[in-house]
Amino acid sequence: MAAGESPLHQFEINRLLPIEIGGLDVSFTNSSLWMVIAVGAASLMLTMSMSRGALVPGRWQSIAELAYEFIAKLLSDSAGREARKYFPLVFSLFVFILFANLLGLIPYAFTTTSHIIVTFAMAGCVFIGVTILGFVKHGARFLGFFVPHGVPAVMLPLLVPIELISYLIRPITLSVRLFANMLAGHTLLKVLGGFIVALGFFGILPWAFIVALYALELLVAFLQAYVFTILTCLYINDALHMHEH
Amino acid sequence: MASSDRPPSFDDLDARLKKARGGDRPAPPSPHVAAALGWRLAIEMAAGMAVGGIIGWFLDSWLGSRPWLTLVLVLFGVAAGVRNAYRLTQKRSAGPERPS
Repeated sequence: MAAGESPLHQFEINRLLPIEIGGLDVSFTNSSLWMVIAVGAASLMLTMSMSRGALVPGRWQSIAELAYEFIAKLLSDSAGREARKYFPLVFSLFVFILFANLLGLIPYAFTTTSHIIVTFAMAGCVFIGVTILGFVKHGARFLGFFVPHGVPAVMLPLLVPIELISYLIRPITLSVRLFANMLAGHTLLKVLGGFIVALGFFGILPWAFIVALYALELLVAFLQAYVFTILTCLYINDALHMHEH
Repeated sequence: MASSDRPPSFDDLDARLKKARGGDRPAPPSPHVAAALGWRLAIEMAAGMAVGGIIGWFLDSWLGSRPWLTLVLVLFGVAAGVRNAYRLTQKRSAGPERPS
């Protein structure tokens, strides 16, 4: 197998439009291109499908309304009615991740969400935003979030650092989960694709497996966008209501 | 509201449907959802250790106490990871179904 056909070759970043501002490399890469395509496709689909605004929705309008209601219900179920303010953020996150994941499944496309820096940037924004929200909402009392109640004071020096670290883990797990799923799935698809060529006639076996795996990857694309979204909702809930048992 | 002119048999349809489907017991998770949960538990525990180690490393370089804070915070990180993983499984068995 040539070096250019390695299963990891698909994740390579190429500069399409080299730009450098103040010593910083801010080139427009294939990753940026596919992010722009994801945003464009999502905006186009949502605006086009809602442009008629018919009372009895057509096919496209149903999809848009279904997505809207799904996320609206998810948000109010997991974070309460006050969280409705944050709907635009949550909906944009869901649609962007979903489109990035799905576009990545098109052959020869680039999967932006298979790069940890992309997912970590989103998770980091969510984490910082939610922490600021908690402090704005509760002031210094938000620090009480890290003190488990009903625990003897002797144990607190041990438990508060644990709570603090388990809070700081959040952006890591949020980003690693999405990135690892995408990376693993796409690598596996490429590896199996290589087997098809190598095995000749018996390549029909990995070929059949790829068909099944592709269906699974479609599910994973949805599931991971959903998981990212619901965890964002749960974090917003924690910031708004702290631990109200 | 329109609830008064609804046929009465409609109201308990939900209850009867639920009973026929085996009560409130949630359906067993599909293999994909179970695999996603497994992934999540593993990532949770590994990330705990990593975050504890990284914080410890930076604190050590700052305070010049090289191995000690890293060691202690890695242990705290492991504990935090296990705690998050534990909390995750508790939430699943107790509360309403929340897929991974």
